Amino acid sequence: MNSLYLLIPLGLIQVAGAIWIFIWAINRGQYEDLDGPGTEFLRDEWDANLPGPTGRATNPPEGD
Amino acid sequence: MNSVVTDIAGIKTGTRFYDRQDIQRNFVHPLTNGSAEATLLLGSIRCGGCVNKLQKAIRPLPGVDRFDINYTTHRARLVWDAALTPISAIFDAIQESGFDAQPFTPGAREQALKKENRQALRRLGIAGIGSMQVMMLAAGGYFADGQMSLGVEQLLRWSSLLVTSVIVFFAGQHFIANAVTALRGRRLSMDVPVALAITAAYLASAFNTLAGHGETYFESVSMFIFFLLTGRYLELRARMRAGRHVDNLARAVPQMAHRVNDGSVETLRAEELVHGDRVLVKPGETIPADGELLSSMAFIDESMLTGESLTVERQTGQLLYAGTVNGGDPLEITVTRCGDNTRLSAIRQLAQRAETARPAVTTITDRIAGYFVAGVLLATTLIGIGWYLIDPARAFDIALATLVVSCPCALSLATPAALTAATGRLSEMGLLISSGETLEKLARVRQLLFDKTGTLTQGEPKISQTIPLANLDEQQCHQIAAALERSSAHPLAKAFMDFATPELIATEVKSVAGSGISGMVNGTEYRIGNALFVTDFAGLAADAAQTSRFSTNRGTTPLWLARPGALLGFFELEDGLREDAAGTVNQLQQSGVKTGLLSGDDSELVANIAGQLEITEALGNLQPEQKLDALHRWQQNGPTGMVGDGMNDAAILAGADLAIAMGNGADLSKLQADAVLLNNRLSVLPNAMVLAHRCQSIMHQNLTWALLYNAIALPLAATGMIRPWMAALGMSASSLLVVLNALRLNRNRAQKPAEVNP
Repeated sequence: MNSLYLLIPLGLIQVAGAIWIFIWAINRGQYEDLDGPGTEFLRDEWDANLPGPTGRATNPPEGD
Repeated sequence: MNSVVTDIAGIKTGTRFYDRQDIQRNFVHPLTNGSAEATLLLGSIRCGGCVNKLQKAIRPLPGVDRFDINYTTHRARLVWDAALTPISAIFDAIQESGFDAQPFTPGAREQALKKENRQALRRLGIAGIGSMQVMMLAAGGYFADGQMSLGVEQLLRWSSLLVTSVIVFFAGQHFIANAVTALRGRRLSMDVPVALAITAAYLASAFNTLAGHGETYFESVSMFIFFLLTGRYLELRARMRAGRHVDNLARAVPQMAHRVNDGSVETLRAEELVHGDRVLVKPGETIPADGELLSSMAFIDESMLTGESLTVERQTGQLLYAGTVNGGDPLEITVTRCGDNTRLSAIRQLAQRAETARPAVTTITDRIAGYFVAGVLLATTLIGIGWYLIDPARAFDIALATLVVSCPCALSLATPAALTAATGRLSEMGLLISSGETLEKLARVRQLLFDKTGTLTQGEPKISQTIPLANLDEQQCHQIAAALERSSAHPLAKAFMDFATPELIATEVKSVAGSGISGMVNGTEYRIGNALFVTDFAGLAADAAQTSRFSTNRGTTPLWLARPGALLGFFELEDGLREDAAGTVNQLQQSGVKTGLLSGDDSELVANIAGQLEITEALGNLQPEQKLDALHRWQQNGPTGMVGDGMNDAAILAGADLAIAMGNGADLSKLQADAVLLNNRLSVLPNAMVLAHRCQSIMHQNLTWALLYNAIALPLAATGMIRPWMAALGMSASSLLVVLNALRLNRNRAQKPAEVNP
């Protein structure tokens, strides 16, 4: 039973981490366009050698 | 630009800014009768009650003609006389009522939606992840079944309190804020009982945790918040989806244009273009304004306007529309309409007007929901008091369950969610709804009348046969005919335009309605028109027999060209049926919609077309009044819709129970139709009627479900048979069900010729 005193607080920290990651992803605009990035590579401007998806140009990270 | 507007909107005196002409150009459209129309984006509209309150505050202002708010899109359409009230005064009045407004521009809407979407997702995420944890902790408590040591039990309770506090303060606070706004405005919205239940359950649980004994409801509170937020989020997505089409239209016009000035090309902002400018459009660029094509030929992608993805060919002198894309070589146009007068802009305004129009049924359900909330609060109080007298230990539990289970969220969402989904789906199909009642009318109409030219046919007659009858050859006949027809607005005149030459100019041109045209070309008088008109003039009564030789009944229009004393030529003009006309009529008839054809054209021709389409009731040779009489006769048998091009049948469209105009026809900004077929594809109609029926039946299902649910749940809760957690589950599941049911309309199922009969 005593392990609960460690495990429950650990669980809470994990939940806090999960929420933090989720909010981070929302603020990066990752949920704004769910279809576009899949066809990104078909665009003429797309260059596989560029760092990161070019889709970032249309969804810049914003902290509001 | 938008950021400037928003910044200044925050300061009260800053609304003066909106009175400036250059600022107003972006969101105010002058109307013909001297008043102006503006679309505003409203913040903090949270329920139907807010809508009523704000409308009551703004409508009595001097000069305000209309002020319609759409709850789903948070937009208001304002028609007012700027001479009586400056727009800043209206902004001030909105702020005084406790709301904020900003001019609706596509950018503003997009920003607002993006912000709303992010906030909603954040709340949903916190509530979702958090409630999972609370449920897990609660499950531990259930299984331990009293075997737990006091320390562990306290740990579970305090952990639950911690996580639930996060959920309530970050996610549930949304409902509480909404409820406070509603109560401040002396209204009861559906958020009031929700907020009350959340607060009461949370405070009671927190108190019992601190006290160290007693019931806690943490899992019910967090689950309740999570499921309600899920429903709200789905509704938000549906709203964003419905507005997407309009947003795309607004974005279609490019920012920059290339103006050609005596050989040099200057790049300037598209808004600065004026009538008469020569504009260069490079391959792949979007045309910035409506204009006539100067280049000899162009291939244009009009998909933004019509949804048709194939490029179309355009010749010199034909109109190109703003928002369409140059799919071929560089081209030049002369601007004829720009800014807010373009066709694209007219479509956008129509769509916006439709979005702000609220069907009566939504207003009614909102009002019912208001009374319902009052009833719920009263019932909860009475039941709480009753149980307190019988069994004080159970009173709080039962009152809480009653409050939660009977909240009319499902009732409030039942119709708007379905209407939003259906309108969005229809605009994707190419049918632009321009009034709130159109969906209802589409579902009700059981008879559909069609106009012929431009509706069932393509409206672009072509010369299918030419027979020279005298010493002129085919080409000369065409050129003389073109000279005569040049200034005519008659649809048949278009057929000759390709043959016009600058050498031949007709003077003293007179057109005789329903007969033909006469005029002088190179000193000789010519006539072109029907047999009677021409033979009469040529003094060839005896040749009447000869003309009948050519008479056809293949669904074509015969025309003769003559000069005094001689018939010169015979033309046969054919206006082809639209490819999907026959299929559409057939599909409509199969689904039980009676079809008919009304036309001003020659009876024989009309009968022929009707024969090809298997329309049994067709009338030709009708004057506009006669068309209206015919429509009234049909209407005696039930509601009747009319499909026309909106140009010469405006009166009949106005008289019909449902008016649908073809998108290629009239000036859209002046159109008084319930719906516009933007892509001119008739085959959309049967599918749209099926969709309208599904929308009606889904609204009925939703309303029935919402009322039935409350009727069953309330007595169960009042008698103590429902625990608070069951109530939270039942109520949030019920509103989720209603939204999901409405979202079924978004699914693409209307392809097959389904039964329209309800």
